[in-house]
Amino acid sequence: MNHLEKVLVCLPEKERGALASFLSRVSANKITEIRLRAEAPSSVTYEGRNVYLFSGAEVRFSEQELRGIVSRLCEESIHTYSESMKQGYITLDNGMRIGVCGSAVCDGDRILGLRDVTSLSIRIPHIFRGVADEVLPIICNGDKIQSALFYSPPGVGKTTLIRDIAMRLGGGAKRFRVCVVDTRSEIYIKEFFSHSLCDFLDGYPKGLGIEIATRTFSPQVVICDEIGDISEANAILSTQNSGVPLIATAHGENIASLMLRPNIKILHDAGIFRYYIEIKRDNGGEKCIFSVTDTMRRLE
Amino acid sequence: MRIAGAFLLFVFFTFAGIMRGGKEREKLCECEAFLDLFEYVKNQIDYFLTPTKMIYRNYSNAVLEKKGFLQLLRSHENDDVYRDVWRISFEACKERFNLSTSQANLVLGFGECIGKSSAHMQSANFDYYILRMGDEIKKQRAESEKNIKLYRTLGVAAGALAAILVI
Repeated sequence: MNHLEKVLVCLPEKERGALASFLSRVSANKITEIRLRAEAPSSVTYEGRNVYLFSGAEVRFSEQELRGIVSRLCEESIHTYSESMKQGYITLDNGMRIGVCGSAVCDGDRILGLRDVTSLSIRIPHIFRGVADEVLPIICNGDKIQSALFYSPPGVGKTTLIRDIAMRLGGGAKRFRVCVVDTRSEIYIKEFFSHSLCDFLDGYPKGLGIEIATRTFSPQVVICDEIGDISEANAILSTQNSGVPLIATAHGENIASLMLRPNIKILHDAGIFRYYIEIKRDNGGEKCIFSVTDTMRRLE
Repeated sequence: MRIAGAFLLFVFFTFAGIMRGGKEREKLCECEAFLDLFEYVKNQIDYFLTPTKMIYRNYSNAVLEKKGFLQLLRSHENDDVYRDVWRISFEACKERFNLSTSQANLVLGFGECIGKSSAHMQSANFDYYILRMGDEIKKQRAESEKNIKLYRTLGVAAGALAAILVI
């Protein structure tokens, strides 16, 4: 059962029909997100455009229906996902990430739980083999892997790219011991990694995950997704004196805006990354375009 | 001939009384088995946040296994949509259990709580059902002792009466 089929079977019957009829008219590969809203129109992001979902009228869900969908998507295991749900997302076994919006129940700064679910953003992961073709020779030159930070605005394909990098480094002609710190459980897809030498630390906080990976797995490269706040950057910094190269991603429009973020700035100042690689899409949105900043060359 | 018939009747009624008493004992065992499962599920969710469909993998209980309930729970692990599995499994083998209606409702009620909310909320719900099942067991134990004696005595008495009548 693929990701879209999984979403379909979890929807109430009427709305399932609307989505199924939409899917029958378009190429499923180009759907990146399905957004379901309580008492507001639901939409599908297709080829980068947001399209209303219609079934006679706009498809709208009730809050209760959204809860039911979450429960079915989580396979009746809300408890397993409740911690990440507090942070606004859940990641299912198959790498599918679902953003969850609602009314937070807070105790000061701490979110205790989510009372009402008002929107679900279901991101459909795509496996594109070969997206890393162009950047692999840059970060992996013979036996040596260089640290690199990939950046782009959300939705351009950072996770897809580092998934491909992890798979290629761990399963290519020259196989490296790759440790993937998969904090949000988004990178690992079983069938994708069944023949690679990748070890996954699933759900670990990045700093702790990198520390454990370095200490116990003697990796030749560590890969992690989306460096978050400054505490995460500090945790990474404290573990990055081992000489193990790190490949990571971050949100950012360009290198200047990236450097305005204190979390990236401290990593940059510490010289963690050699390459900063921007990811863009070409006009058709089909192909990734990379622009590489080599910090060594700048220093020279 | 008459004596042999009387003897057979006596044995039949006595055996029926003992069998009926055995059912009572079995009912108690089933309640205890469910209480054990309730506590196991609670621990799995409370401490390990185990996904619902994986909870029953490593659990074993001779009584529930004999009735086929655990096998049914496990058989849904690869379902495309994992939903209402506890209820579906219990309904499928309900007839094999000797539970009273209130005990069966307790089992179904417990299943309704699994996986539908955060671990903390589930734990509170589970405590309620564990407490109620504990009470049911106490009640059942007292009733069982009384009923086992009653059925045995009734069996022997009915057997003796039937034997006397035949003779």
